[in-house]
Amino acid sequence: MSGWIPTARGAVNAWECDHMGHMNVQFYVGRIADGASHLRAALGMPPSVVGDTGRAFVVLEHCIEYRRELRAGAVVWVESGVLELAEKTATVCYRLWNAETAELAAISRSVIVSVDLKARRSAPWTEATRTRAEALRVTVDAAELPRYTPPEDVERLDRADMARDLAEGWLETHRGAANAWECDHLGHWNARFYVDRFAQGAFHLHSALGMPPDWMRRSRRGTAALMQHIRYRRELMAGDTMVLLSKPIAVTEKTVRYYNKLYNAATGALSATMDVLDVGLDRTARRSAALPPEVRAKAEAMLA
Amino acid sequence: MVASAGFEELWRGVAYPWECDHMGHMNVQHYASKGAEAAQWLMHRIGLPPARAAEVRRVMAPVADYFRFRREVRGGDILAIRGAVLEIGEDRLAYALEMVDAENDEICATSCVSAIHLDLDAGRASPWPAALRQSASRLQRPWEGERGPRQALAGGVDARSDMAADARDGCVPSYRGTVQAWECDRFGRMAPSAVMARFSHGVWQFGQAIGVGPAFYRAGNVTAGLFYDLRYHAWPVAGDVLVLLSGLSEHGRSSHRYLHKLYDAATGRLVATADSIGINIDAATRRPIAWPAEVAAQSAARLLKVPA
Repeated sequence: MSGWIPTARGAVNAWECDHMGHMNVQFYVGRIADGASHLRAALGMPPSVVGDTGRAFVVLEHCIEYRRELRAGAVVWVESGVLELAEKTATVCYRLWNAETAELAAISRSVIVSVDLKARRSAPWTEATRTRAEALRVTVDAAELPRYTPPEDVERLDRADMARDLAEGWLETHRGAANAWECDHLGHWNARFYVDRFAQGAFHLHSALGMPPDWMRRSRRGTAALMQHIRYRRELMAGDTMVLLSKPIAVTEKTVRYYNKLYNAATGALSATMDVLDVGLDRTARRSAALPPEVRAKAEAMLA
Repeated sequence: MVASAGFEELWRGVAYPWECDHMGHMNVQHYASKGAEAAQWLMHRIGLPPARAAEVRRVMAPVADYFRFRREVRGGDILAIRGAVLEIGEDRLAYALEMVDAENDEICATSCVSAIHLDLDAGRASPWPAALRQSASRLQRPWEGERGPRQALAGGVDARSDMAADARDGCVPSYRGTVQAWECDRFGRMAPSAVMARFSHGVWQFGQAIGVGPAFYRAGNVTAGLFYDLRYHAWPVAGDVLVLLSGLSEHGRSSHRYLHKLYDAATGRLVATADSIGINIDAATRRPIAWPAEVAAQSAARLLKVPA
């Protein structure tokens, strides 16, 4: 028996596509966030109930593999299921399908945590939710699930110390503030916007590595995300200022892996981190492409 | 009204706070935006999926869209849209969409759309291929929903491109702006939601003249759309300059009926029209209430001249 349920459905709007000619990663995560709302309802926490009970879940971790580009007009749908259930957390899976090609466009293995929004802390799942979660259990072949191996020096990478990071060569790739209208009905700065800021940072990093916008335009080259491992650590609220620092941690012929640290600029607390693998993109052939040698050299020089 | 049987799910998602306006409910443009995504699913289901549409340069384009709002949608509501084909003509197709609250299956809004099989290069309707007609007929269902205003507008909506005549009748400029690149679809045409957004601006702008302006809303009053009956006449592209002319065609105890005519300001050509009713609702009960006396008086003085 399959516990998969459809949790989002729609079409890719032209305005959800970026200058790479495909749906920007923030909108993949936006569709996953839509799916989360419907999954909450299926777990017995629909909008009408959340206000009274204050019980909901929030995301701790997204491990997303982007398998196929989505172009404007594509018809898509998301299905969700529960992989594992613990006392306060669960691992769930979101699969985003291209309905026209029946191809899997993206898959996310996401860790969620049961929260009491009134007390603003985590809480064990209720019995009712546990029962509903059992009915949504799915199994996914291990080879199909996003696999994530943290970098060896992850503890050092996760250290919250902006000044030290800058001294060690981290680049500032985004600076901004959380807008009030980017907050969702739970009062949280919606996951989609974290990914928006990470994506904005990516183009600054790529520019610093020798792939500036003008080069991308002339060469019809670019980049695309293959994998993102995002950890939401301390939420940002409307009005909070932020700084994103990024640094390459591995480079191959076609890919660059880099680590991103989104800091609360006022408190210096680490709000979210993202470990991402980007691949060079030939925007004419819509295929992966080797990174220019000088870009690789520059990235390698920054690894240390 | 209860959700219709046999309709197919064409969209599923969420209404977010950032889609809500200062009335505290989802703005009309987002009904249109979600409906347009549902229409692309419908195209896919009848055999005109995205890649095929781009290859043959044919799309299903709405020419008339009647939105009937049944219940307000708030930020955080989980929604689904289900739809069915109503009629298939030579080069036309009518379909119905029902937006429901996914939590309780209550209908939030319906729309009845008349679309054409548009040849993008020729810029006109072309006959449906037999295979598409056949697959569309498989999605055909009876529908009890509203297909148009219960009471037709006296004199109808003048579909002539004549800004001077509209002004003489009492229409005033209520929006002026430009089609933005991010408001266009993948074929470069202004999206229906972007058209709807202009009508929303028009209501707020025109409202100022009859006492339903920012001060009215800041005092805690709320209005909501009952229906929008839209006609699309042209498909502007990014950079086109637009002007909206709006007038008050009827006013009732708690309602205003608006006429909107959206023009290409450079060519004077009509882009779209809307006949719509907005109602004054109580902020707490969200039920219709009478306009304040001063609004009623100002409305009576601003009524459009009814065409002879």
